[in-house]
Amino acid sequence: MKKVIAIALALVMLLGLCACAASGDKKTNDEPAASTDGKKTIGILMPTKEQTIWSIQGDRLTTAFEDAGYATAIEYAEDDSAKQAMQIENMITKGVDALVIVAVDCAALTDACEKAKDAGIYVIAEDRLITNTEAVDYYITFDLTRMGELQGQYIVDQLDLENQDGPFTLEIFSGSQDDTNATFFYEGAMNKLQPYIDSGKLVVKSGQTSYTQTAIQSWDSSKAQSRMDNLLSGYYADDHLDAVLVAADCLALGVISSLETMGYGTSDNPYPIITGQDAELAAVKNIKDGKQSMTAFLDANALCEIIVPVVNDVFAGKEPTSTTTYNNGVKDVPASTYDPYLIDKDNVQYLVEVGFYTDAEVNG
Amino acid sequence: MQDNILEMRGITKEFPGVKALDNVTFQVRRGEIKALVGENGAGKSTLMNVLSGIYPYGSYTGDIVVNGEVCRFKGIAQSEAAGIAIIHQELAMIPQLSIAENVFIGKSLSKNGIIDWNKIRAATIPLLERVGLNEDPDTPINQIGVGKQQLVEIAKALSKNCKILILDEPTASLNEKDSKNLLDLLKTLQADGITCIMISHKLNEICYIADSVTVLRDGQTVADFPSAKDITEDEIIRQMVGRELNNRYPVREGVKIGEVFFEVEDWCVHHPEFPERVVIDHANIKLRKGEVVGLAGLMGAGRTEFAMSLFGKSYGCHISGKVRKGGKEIDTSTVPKAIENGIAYLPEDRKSCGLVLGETISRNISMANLKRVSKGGVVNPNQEIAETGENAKRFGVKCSSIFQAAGNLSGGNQQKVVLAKWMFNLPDVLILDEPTRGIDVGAKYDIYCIINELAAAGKCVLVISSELPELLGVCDRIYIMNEGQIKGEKLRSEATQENIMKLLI
Amino acid sequence: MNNTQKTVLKPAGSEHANVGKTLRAYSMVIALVVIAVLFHFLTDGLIFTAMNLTNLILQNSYVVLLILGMLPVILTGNVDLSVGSVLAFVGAVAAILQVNYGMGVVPTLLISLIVGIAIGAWQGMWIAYFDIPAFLVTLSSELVFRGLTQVVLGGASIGPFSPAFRTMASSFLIPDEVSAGTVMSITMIIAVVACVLFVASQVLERRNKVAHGVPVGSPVGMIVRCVLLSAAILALSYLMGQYKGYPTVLVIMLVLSLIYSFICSRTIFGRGLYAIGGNRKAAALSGVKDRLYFFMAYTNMGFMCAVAALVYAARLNAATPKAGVNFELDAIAACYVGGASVSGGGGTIAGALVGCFVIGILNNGMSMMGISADWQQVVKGLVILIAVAFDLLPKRKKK
Repeated sequence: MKKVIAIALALVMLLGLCACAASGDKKTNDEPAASTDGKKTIGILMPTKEQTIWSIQGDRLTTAFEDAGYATAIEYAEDDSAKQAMQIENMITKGVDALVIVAVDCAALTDACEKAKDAGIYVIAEDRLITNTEAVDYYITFDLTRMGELQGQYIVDQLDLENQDGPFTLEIFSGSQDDTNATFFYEGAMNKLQPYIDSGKLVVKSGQTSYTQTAIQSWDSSKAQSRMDNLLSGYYADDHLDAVLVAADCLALGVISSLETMGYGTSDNPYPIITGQDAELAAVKNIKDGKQSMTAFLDANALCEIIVPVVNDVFAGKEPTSTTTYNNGVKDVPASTYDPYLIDKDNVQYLVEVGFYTDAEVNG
Repeated sequence: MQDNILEMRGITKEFPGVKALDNVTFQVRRGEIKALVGENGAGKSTLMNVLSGIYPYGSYTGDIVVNGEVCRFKGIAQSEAAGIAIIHQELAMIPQLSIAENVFIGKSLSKNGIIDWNKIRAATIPLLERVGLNEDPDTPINQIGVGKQQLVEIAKALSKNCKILILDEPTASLNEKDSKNLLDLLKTLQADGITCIMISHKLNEICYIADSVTVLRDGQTVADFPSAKDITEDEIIRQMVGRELNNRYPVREGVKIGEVFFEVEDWCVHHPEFPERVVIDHANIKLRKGEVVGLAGLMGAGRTEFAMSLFGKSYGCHISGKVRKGGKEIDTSTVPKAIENGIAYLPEDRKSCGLVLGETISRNISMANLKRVSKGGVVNPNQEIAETGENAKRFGVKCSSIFQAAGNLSGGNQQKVVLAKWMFNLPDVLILDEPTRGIDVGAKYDIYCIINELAAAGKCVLVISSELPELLGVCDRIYIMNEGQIKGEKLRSEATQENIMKLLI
Repeated sequence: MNNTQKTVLKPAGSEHANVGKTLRAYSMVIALVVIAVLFHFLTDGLIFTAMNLTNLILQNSYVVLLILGMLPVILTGNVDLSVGSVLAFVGAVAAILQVNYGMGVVPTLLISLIVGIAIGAWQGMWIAYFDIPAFLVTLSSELVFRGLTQVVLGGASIGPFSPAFRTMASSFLIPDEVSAGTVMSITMIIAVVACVLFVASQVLERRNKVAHGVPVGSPVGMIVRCVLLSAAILALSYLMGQYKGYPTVLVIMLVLSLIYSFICSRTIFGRGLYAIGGNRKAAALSGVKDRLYFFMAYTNMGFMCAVAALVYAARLNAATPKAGVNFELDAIAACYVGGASVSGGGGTIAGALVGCFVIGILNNGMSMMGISADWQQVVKGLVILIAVAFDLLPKRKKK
C-alpha cells in the first residue's frame, strides 16, 4: 500500500514540476481546455518540436487564434503518426471545435479525422494534405511548386546559366517520400533546372536525378549527410561541386557538414550554391556565414492572415473563400495558398523585422 | 599463559527473525591450525564474516581482539590491514584474467594509476613458489583446475601479508590428491608462522591437520577441543548433531537383490569440444533390481560425463553403445526420451542443474513430470499442490510451506527437493551424482535412508561419489572408473578403501 | 499424517500477513486506479468518459497485442528488439496485397499472419537451434525488416485499406443499425454474462481446491475479488455503452489475453517457459524441451506482431515506413512495469496488461492536460523507473 501512495505522490510532484516548467516556458498551456468560458477552442497539431519551423508556427498560430478570441490547445507528435492519431482523439474528447493539423504522415490520419468529423469538428490540414479521406474540410499551404521554382531559379541566376557555358556540376537532395509535398518541390525546381541539364550546362555527375533516387527518408539530416559523403567521395574526388539543390534546411545542414569535412569552405574551394527552405535558425546562421546560399521563409504571419479568417467564416456559418482546390485521392479539398519569401545573405535582417527571430538570435 | 592471536568474545549477530550467533566465544592460538566445524546453518560462515568485516562493526555485539587489541572492522579492507584474509567456498576470481592479475586485483602495483605489469609478474612468481604452484603467471585462471585456483587464492592472501588465513570449505570441490596437497601446504604455512582457521565438513581431514577444534551448533559454541589428541571423529559428530550417531550409514536391511534390470554396453563418448578425445571408453555396467551400486572415481575420471551422456546425451558427442532395460534396448538419446524410459538423473550441482531457485518447492517437484497432474496439456494446479506436497513430506523436506522458494532452503533440503522431483516421475533407474555434496551430517543420513528405501522398493540405484567411505557405507557393489574406463568392480564384502584406491590411480 | 501434510500445504504466514501479501500482489492494479483517478481530477473529469475509455483501448490495442508475444519471450529470459520493424513489415505486406493487388480481406489477413509466423520462426530457428544470442538475432531482424518495409513500400505510405479491413480496428461489436437505442442494454447484458462467468470460474476453482484437499481459507477474499471485479466490469461497460459499446479490438484483445494468460499459467507449455527462464540447464535436465520452447516463444512473437500490425494498419488506414518505431520498448516496459523479471522466469500476462495501461493512462492523461511532449517523456521515464524500483527494492532488503 505504501508503495502505491509513494508512486502517486511521486507522480503528483512530477506533474506539478512539469506544469510549472511548461507555464514558465510558454503561456500556451495555461488554460486547460475545459475552462474556456464559452470560447470556441482550436486544436493545433504539429508534427515535431525538433524542427524550428513547426514550433514557430505553433506559437504564431496560438497567438493569432488567441488574439482573435479563441481558446487553443497544442500538441507535438514527435514525428510519430500513431501518437498524432492519439492526440487527435484526445482533442476530440476535450471538445475542441476546429482542428489545424500538420500531419506527420499524410496517409495515416483518416480514421482519426473521420472521428473528428463525426464529432462535428472542422478539420483544416495545413502544409501537408491529409489523403484518402472525406474528412478534410480545408487545406492551407504555401504554393508548393512555387517553392521549388524559387530554389531552382536561384541556382539558375547565381550560376548565370543564361550567359555562361559551364558546364557546372550539380547534385540534388529531395524531401521525404512519405511527404506528398516533396514531389511538388522537386517538380518545381526541375521545371527550372531540367532544360540546362538537358543542354549539358548542368552536369549531375552521380547520374542520380530522379525523385526517388534523391529522396531523403524522414527529412533526416544525418541521412543527407551520409549521402553527400558518398557522392563527394564517389564522384567529386577531383572535381568541384558547384551547386546543390537541397529541398529543405534540415537536409542542407547535413549536406554542409559533409562538405565541411571534405574540405570545402576555403577560398580556393568555396562552398557550392546550396538551397533550402524553412528558415531554420541554424540555416539562417549558415547563410550569414556564407555556407548556405538561400532559404525560403514561410511567413507564419502570412499563414495566420489566411487561416484566422477561414476559421472566423466557419464559425459564422459561412463557406470560407478558397483560391484553388487540391485532390487528396477522394475529393477536391478547397484550399488557399501563400507565397514563400526568399531569404539570402542580403536580406537576413528581414526575419528580425517581421519578428520571426529576435535580433539576438540572428546576430548574437 | 596462552598466547592467543585472536579472541572473539560474546559475539551475537541477529538477522531479522533469526539469531545467527548467540554469545559465541572463539579463541585461536598463535600459529595453530584451528578447525571450525558444525552443521550447515550452525553459524560458521556468519562468524567468519563478522571477523573479516563483511558484517561491519555495529551490526553485531561483542568484541574482536586481534593481537591483544580490540578491533572494530568497518569492512574487508580494515580486516585485511589487520592481517586477516578469508577465502570463500565459492572462489572469487575472474576467470578471464591471468593468475598474476587475479593475485594483485584490487591492489595493483601502479604508479600514478598506470599498472606496472612486469612488477606484478615479478611479485607473483615467489608467491606461486611459496604455495607450490608451478604455472606461468600469465595463464588465464579458467585454464587451470579448481585445485590450482585454490592455491592462487592462497597466494593472493599471502600477497596481502596475512597473519590469519581463513578457509571456508577449501576442499569441497577438490579430489583426494589435490586435497592432500592443500592440507600439506597449510602445514608448511603454519611452519612459516601463519595461523589458519579452516571450516570443513570432512572430519578425516580435520583429524589429519587440525591442532584444535571448535564446534558450533545453532549459533552457539558447544565444544572446544584444545588439543588434537582428544579428538575422535565420532566425538565431533556427536557434538555437531547434538545426539549420538552410532552409525553414519543406515543399516541396509532385508536387501533383496533381483535380476539384472538395467545394462549399459560398450558405452563410448567423445569430448564435446575436442571430438578426437575419448572421454568414456567402452564402459559396461549392469544394475540389478533393489541394488545400490556405487561408481567410484577421481575428479576427471569421467563419472559425471558417463552419467550425463547416458541421460539424454546431455554431454559429449559421437556417443555409441547400447542401453537395455529389462532386456529390451531403449532409446535415451534425448532427455525426454530417457525420462520416459524411467531413468532419473540427480545432477552433481543441484543449484545450477537441479533446481529453479526462484520457483516454489511445489513447482520444482512437479517440473519433470507435469503430465502427471495435467490433462491434455492443461495443468491442474490444485492436484499439483496436493501431490507435490505429499512428495515433499515423504522425502522429509523441511519448509514452512511448499510455496517457499527453493533458493531459500538449506543445501540438504534442496537436495531432498531434487530427489522428490525425480521420485515424482516414478523412475525405475536412478543415477545419483554426488547426492551428499556440501550437506551436513544429519541431512546426509536422511539421504542415505532414502536411497535404501528406493532400493528396497525395487529400483536400480547408481550412486556416484568422490568419498570412498560413503560408497563403502551405502553400496552393495562398487564400480571403479579411471580415465573413462571401468577398471573393475568390487562387492561390498570384498571392498576396502585400499583395494579401490589402487584401481583408482 | 494428515497433520503434517496440512502444515506443509499451509500458505506462508498468518492471516494478517496474507492480507499484506495480497495487497502487494495487486499493488500495480491499485497504482493504476490511483493514477487514473488522479488524472481524472487533474483534467477536470476527462478520463472516465465514454469516449476517452474507448480511445484508451484503441490507442493501446497494439501494445497489448505485442505484450502477448513479448511476455513469453521475457519469461525465457530474453527480449525481442525486432518487434517494431516486423510490425511495420507485416503492415506493409498487408497494404501491398490490399491496395496494389486488390486482394480480399480474408486472404490478406491469412497471408499477413503467415508472414508474421514465418518471421518469428526464422528468428526462433537461429536462437533455439543455432544458439545465436537472442539480442543479436532480433537486432539483426530489426534492421532487416525496417529495410524491407521501405523496399516494399517504396519509402512512401500506402493506403487506404478497404472498409471491411478497417472494421477490425475502428468498428464496434454491435453494428450501428442494431445499436440505435439499445446499445446500453446489449452491452450491459454482455457485461453481466462476463461477471457471471467470472464468478462461476472462481467457485469452480474453489471446488477443485477442496476436492484435492488444498486448504481454501475463508471465502471472504474470493467474494471481495468477485465483487470488485464485477463492479469494475459493469462500471466500465456502462461507460462504454454510452458511447458505442465494445470496440471490436477490445474483444480481440480480451479473448487473446485470456487465452495467453491460460497458456502461460495453466499449461505444460507455459510452465516450461517459466522453468527455462528460471534455470535453463535444470529445466533441460528435467526433460523440458528447451529449444522447442524458445522456438515457439519467438514464433508466437512473430504471430502477435502480425496481429498487432494488422490492427495498427487498420487503425491508421495506411502502412507507413515509420510504423512501429520503438514499439518493442513500449512492450518491454509494460512487461517490466507489470512485474516481469528481467532475468526471466517471472511475470504474468495480467501484470503486463496492467503495466501497459499504467503507461497508457499516463500518455493519455498527460496529453489531455496539455503537458508538452518533451516533459511527457521525462515523466514517463521516471514513472517507469519508480514503478520497477518499488517492485524490486523490498525484495532486495530481504537478502
